[in-house]
Amino acid sequence: LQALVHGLQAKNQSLSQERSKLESILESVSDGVIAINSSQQIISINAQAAKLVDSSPDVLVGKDLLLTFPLRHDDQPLGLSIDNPKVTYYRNVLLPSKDKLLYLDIAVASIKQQANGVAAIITTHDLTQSRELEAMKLDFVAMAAHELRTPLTVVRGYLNLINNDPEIVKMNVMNLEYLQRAISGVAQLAGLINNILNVSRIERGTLGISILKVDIAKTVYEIVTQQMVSAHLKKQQMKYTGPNEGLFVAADETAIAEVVNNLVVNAIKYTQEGGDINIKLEKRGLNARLEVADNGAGISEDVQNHLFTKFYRAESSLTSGNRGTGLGLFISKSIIELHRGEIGVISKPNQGAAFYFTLPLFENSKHAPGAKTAERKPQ
Amino acid sequence: MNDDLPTVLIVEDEAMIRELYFFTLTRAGYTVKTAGSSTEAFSTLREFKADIIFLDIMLPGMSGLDILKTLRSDAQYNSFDSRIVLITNLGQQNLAETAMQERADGYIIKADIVPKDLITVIESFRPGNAKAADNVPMRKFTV
Repeated sequence: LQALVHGLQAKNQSLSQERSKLESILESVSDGVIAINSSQQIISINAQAAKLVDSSPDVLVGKDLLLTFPLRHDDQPLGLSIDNPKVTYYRNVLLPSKDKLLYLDIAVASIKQQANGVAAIITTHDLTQSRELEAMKLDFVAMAAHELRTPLTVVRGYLNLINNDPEIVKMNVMNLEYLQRAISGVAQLAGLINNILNVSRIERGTLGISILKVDIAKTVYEIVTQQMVSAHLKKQQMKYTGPNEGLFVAADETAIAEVVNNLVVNAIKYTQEGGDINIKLEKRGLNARLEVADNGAGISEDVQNHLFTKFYRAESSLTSGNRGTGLGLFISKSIIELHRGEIGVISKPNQGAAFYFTLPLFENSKHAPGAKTAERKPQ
Repeated sequence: MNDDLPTVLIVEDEAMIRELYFFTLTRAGYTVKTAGSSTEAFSTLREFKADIIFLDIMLPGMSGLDILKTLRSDAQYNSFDSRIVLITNLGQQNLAETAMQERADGYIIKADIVPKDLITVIESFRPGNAKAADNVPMRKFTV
């Protein structure tokens, strides 16, 4: 009998050792761990999870999970499914806490053979701090870019003041050339800063567009006409097929002009000397579709997949000699998607590339009745 | 100076930009006054009728948008019918909407223009000349 008692005591001791080992493991993980029963009441919870609602484990045991943690997902209260035999992941779950909103990733693992009434284990990963850091980084980038604009305005302005001075005819030819180079460099810098600002707006979700009735034919025709000079300098044949005016889309005029400009400038930049560039604007179904096609080197499928991502450039900028930030197509894609249009590229190596985008025609858009027009009217 | 040309006020706290615009516009023959703050702008406008006002948004003390509100509502500043163009490097979200609501005539991102674009903007406000500013990166409100 004594031996039996000793045996039981030893087992008991090892069980409680095992239990405290498990508890200390649970307490030392940096993520929150919550065990619930089939009525979604908390059976066990570690300190990390309790901290999310400024509480402690002993207070929370026995409470209803979703009343204690009013989690929200996709703008609705989170409905937990604990019948799913697999692990279910919920990303970007919101939890309102005392003074701020917490961002969590949550995994719910249902337990098939329930022991001690445990129906599911929930782990929570707190992303709030990393999101805050990311937001700070984006704020910094936006602020730095804005700050850069002031000295840029000064440099650009005074260079142009010299350039427009009637006395400039007295300047020697070499200095005149240097001045033109400085002016063109500073214009590039302005474009770069605008690109960086646009990317930071896209990432913060603050790139606002104001949709009005825009004559895309006029926009495209004007940009093609402006860029004709650069194409001629590279002895390229640039052709435009489409109306010069009178094709209306629902769009933000400035943003769309930027996309058109990007595609046309890219075509000139990346097509060899003497190449052909064909720009076509047409009505297609409920959309207007612009295509900028060239007979350049073409783009492999692998490269096509990355082309519209941030900072991607098809060739190393050091070897290709073509400068750029790799932001233009990323920005263009974001702008077109904000308009609910489509953007893409059709290409095969050595067979040229055709970049295209579509925009909803104004007459078919929800903006059509009584919408304001972006056309400049004579005053 | 030419009496037929519109009169201009530039409100800008950054001296180098203020002078840059001042040189450009006076050289082009306009009568131009400048102000580095809201106080200076208000005291100038009590005595000077500006046909066009280029108004910076980020200013020490009262912001350009607040100045705009005052100019559009207080008769002592002679600015009810002035053309007011906001000049900024901020390009913040909803700027266009806010500026339009407060009855600005347009806005310009300073880093996107060269000084002589200001002349084009001024000329575009003259009767029959609206198209003059078509190639200037200014968002003009005609609604």
